[in-house]
Amino acid sequence: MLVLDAITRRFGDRTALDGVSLAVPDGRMVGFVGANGAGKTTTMRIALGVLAADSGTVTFRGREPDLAVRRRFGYMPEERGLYPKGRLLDQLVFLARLHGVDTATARRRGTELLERLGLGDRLGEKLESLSLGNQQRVQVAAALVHDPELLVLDEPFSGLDPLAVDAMAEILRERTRAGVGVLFSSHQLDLVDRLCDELVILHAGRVVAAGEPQELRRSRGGSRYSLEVDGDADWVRDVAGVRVLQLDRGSALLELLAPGADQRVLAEAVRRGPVRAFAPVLPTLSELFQEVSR
Amino acid sequence: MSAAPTTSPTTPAAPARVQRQWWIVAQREISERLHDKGFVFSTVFLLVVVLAASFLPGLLSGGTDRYEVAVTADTAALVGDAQPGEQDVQVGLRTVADAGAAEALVRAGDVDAAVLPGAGGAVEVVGESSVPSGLGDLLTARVGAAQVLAGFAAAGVDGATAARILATPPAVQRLLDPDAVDPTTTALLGLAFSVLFFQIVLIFGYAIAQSVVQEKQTRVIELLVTTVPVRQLLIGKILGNGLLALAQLALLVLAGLAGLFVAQRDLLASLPSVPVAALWFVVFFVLGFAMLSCLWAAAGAMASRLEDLQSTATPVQMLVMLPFFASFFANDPGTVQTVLSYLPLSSPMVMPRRVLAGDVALWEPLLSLLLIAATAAVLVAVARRLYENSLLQTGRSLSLRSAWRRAA
Repeated sequence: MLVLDAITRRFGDRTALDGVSLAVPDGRMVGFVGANGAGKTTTMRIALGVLAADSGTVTFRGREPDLAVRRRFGYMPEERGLYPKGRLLDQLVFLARLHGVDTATARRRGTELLERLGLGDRLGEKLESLSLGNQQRVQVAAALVHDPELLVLDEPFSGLDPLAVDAMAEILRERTRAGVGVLFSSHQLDLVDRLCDELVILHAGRVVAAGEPQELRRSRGGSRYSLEVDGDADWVRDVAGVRVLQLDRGSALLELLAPGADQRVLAEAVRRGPVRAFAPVLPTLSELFQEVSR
Repeated sequence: MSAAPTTSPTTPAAPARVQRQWWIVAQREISERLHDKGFVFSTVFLLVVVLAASFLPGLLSGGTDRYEVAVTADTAALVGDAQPGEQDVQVGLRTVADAGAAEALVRAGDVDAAVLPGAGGAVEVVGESSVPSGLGDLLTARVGAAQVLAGFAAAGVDGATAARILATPPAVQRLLDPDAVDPTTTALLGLAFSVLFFQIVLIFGYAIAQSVVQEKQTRVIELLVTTVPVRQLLIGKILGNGLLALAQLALLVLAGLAGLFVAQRDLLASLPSVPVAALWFVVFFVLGFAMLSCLWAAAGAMASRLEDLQSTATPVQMLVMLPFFASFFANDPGTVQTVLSYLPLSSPMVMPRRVLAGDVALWEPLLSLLLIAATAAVLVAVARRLYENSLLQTGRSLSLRSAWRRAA
């Protein structure tokens, strides 16, 4: 488990991170979301030791990671970085060897990964001859080629087509099943929703929400209900403790402001005729994000 | 974290084997450079230049010269007899019908000159635009001797007496110190050392700076620093490029020596200090390169894009160019040369030249090397700090001051 505890970092007189704490348990996929400039990249760079924190600690499996431990991390920086003139496989072998993998193993893993990412027939080509999307795939392979024990991926899905996203997601799932913790940032909230086991939302250098997505929605979403009845539901405006968010003839989206309001709405609805549906509505991730980022 | 079945299980958190990462980095530098067509081409080009410079003078001037000369029946006798003192020159005579035919041969380039009867009993040596100077002198001498002989005969001196008078040997040169090294030759060779050092340090220094700034510009550096200590990265870069530079230098020096050995063995034999000086030069090169290469790396790290490199590299370029031009003024032995042969930035270019001239004691180049090593230690420390501080600052190119202060 990677644990960041009360990390603070200032750039000049701007506080980029203000007491950020988060955990990436082994075998879990942790989605990291936040607006541009919220501090995601800074957090990730500190986790990897590329950047130093002003205060706070980083531990991996209970110890402060030194370079030998960090060498077992896989990193995909936000601003992608590979040699434009390097051949695909050569680059992967080079990076893997720097991470302590022997040449033969590096060659085998690099080939395997590139094949899975659909680049098996281009091993000897220069990176710059690939399309941006394909370069992105190579970058993914670069983070994985040394078979890391922890993955820190900054925007790994940006620029990938749906097929590549699926291939990538499958590879990441495989890694988590093998016990690897994954921290990944993304602006594609539906994708985060689909993939992550846990969610950390960063806003202006602070963690404003963290936990399993489902749990977060339940606890943070307020209490919204949808109601569907035959006939016009206009009467619902008069029920005490109810705010109507949307109303379209027989279907309404309500926010219940007082305890017990749900039962009053339901009773009134049943009294007036058949009720087709009455259920709590969990906010979407982007609604949740909007709310906590305010 | 119990692992489900998987294709490639993670190994437990055993710390990765600490291996020689600087060597992996150096290997990549070497392989990249060797795949670079520009580098290969420039190496071949330099090799051709060195071989040509050492071969051609020998081929052009060495050996026996042979000239073809057209004569008519009237003049054949005048130039038929070789004279004492003609060395290494052969003259082939081609007798033609008349002056017109001879001139035609000269114009066609079939013969080097023609000897023809001129007005009033004079004799002309005819060339197209010029007569090769060695041949002109030789023909003039032969004609003169033949005319003198004819003069003696006309004056009644018998042939044998005349021949005896003419056979008196001409004056010869006697040198007091024939083995002394020709100052022009040493100056030229010394210059060659300077130019080689200057060229290779500039080319490979710039290559190091480019390689550093490219890693910054493409952000590869962000990946590298998560696994390689910055110092190892710096060592790897300098070592990789340094080894290539040394290999190129050794190739050129050996090619030059081999060329001299094959084509101008006399010259080489007359300069017994050449191989020794070449060896010193290589040693000076290694230390001198190490001293400067770190600065090139720092210059690269302070730029953020290739376009900025020109400005951050200028100070380092000056540190190479100014001593190079200064070494021009140190061609002749003297105080200036002696001082420059100890100053660390210029000594790699000047001290081998003094060794070549053969007037230094063993301790002198050793002391000079020691001074370079001491300077290198200081510069490496400075450059390393600049490099480490600047490496992850990708926004803009840094001033010396901010690069120096950042880590403080």
